[in-house]
Amino acid sequence: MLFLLAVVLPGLFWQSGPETAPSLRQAGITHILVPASQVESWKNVSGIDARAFDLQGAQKLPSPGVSFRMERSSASRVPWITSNGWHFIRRPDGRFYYDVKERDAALAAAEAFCYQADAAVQTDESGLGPLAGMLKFLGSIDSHKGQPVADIGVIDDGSPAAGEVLNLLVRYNLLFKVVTSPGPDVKLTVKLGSKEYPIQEEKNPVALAQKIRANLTDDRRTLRIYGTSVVVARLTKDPGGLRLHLLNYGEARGARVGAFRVRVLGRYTKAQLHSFGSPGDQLTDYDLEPGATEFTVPELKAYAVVDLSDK
Amino acid sequence: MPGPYKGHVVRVHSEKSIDSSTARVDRVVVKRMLSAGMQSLTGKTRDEDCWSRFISPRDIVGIKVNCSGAPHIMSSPEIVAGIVENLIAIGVPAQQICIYERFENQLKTVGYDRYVAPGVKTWAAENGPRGAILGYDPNTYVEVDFFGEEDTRSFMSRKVADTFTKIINVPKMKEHQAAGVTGCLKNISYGDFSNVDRSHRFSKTNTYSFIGTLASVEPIPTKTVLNIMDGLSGVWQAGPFSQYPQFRFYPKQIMFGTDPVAMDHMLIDVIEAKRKAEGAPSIFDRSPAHIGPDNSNPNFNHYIREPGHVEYASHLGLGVYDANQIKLKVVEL
Repeated sequence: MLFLLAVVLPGLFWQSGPETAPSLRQAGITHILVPASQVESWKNVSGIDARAFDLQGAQKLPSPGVSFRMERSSASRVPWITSNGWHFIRRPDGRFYYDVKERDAALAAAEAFCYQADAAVQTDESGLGPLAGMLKFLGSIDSHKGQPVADIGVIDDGSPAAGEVLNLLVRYNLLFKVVTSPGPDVKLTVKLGSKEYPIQEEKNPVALAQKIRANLTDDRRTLRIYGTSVVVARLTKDPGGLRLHLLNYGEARGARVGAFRVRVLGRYTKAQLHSFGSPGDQLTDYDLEPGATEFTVPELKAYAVVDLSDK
Repeated sequence: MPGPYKGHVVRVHSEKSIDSSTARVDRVVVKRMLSAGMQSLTGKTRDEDCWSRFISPRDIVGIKVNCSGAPHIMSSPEIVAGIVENLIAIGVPAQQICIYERFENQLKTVGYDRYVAPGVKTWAAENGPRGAILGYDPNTYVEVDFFGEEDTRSFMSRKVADTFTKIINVPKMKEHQAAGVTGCLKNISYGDFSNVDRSHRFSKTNTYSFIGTLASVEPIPTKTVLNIMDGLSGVWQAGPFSQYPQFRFYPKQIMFGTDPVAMDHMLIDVIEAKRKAEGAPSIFDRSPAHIGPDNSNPNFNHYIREPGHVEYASHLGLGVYDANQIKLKVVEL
């Protein structure tokens, strides 16, 4: 059981010694990742399970969140979202770590969990409480071994320019997966760097992302979000149904997201919302349409999942 | 809309209605203006008969105010209070009257509840975080993509969609940086839907067609039975807000009608006349030379204004734009 939890949940990377164990216990942290050289020193600390994690070879990720650049003129009123989803999709076997503080630690853990990434969250005492709270919530969610739902197959050349396009696809909630060749399981295949989707000479990745969206068409998108510009979603599917993951990137800046609307292709008669920090929240205005399901999420703090099924 | 008085506009003017040095409104004069305007519009001589022409005691009445320029420029509480008094006088229970806006923070700065009878409600579609959609009807929306924005829906206010049986529209007499003017049409469209400011970006605005499109969505045209435009004070530059006192002015009038297009045509004339008197460019000016970030200078504006939205709305059947067909009655008190 402990092993399973360690695999699924992101872990706290903690470089301080066993003398800090009371702070961890007080926050509710029971599992930590430490440099290999410190594993031995934590062995006899009761109530805290320490495993080795090597930052060498792990990719450091920026702190997830939003930048409201009110003072700058831009082509969009939408705030800039720093999301790491594209890193996880591009390198599903990669190892990652965050170095974050305060509420960012909770969002980082949720983000890594959402993408089932092998990631460690390094923080200081300011982040222990938020992180512990999020880890407790993540641990309470039923296991879901679903595969990501993708409308778009992207043939990725691995370049930084292509990475920026992947980043924008994530931020626009355009569901994609990285493929090596066109396949029947996606609605649109995009070969970045091709004549149709040039990237090196493309000075505006936003325009390219919009072109991909236009070629897919909004009607064929499995997922749409209305009423917020700071929520990034992910869908996974298993035989039991769909799991919708919702990340509020405004959370780290204290930007509470009020009610927003979700549209998912497919008819799902049952839905269960699990919302971090709002355990009693229920979906509202649930509508079944021909071929689609719509509902309103009343509020979103850092993270929530919605499990959808038709059984 | 355009209702029983298509093409008709009544303008009631009184020099005593507002003190332009203090912006203090004379409530007694406003009551007389309301009475004169409604009687002139309907041709009836008793106030009760005038209001009963549009509203019955069983109605649930929404009064759509405009508070985007509050606390300095908004639908005057004295006018709103006068409307409420007349509704109660014809038998509408106070509990069935609701003063509403999109944003609660703007509505609260005015404090309409202090001017009206106990029981009258106030309500805002967005009473929590900006953008939250619980106050909107998820099944009534306009979906359009202007600039590639991800959020392509504008939802109608929930009470407009499913609660109010009648709406009285009380816009303020203002220039608007994007729409050219903000009068009846804009107040009942952008003021009743979510996620509308996405229609502007850089100097481009899609208000030309979006305002009329939204105003045409049922049940808005059916429920909006009366427009009373507050022109006691107004804004002639940098609207709809009012951060620059030098751009406030005092037309000292109230306009009445059921035809929002005809009334907004009259509004255009008022704003144009004021701007001409101030030496400012016409709201129909589309010169790039007049686009600039500093709209504290009346020669500059953030957007190319689209006052043509009023004429466009006439093509959607919302009213009469042709000046030759508009019948304007002027009442001087």
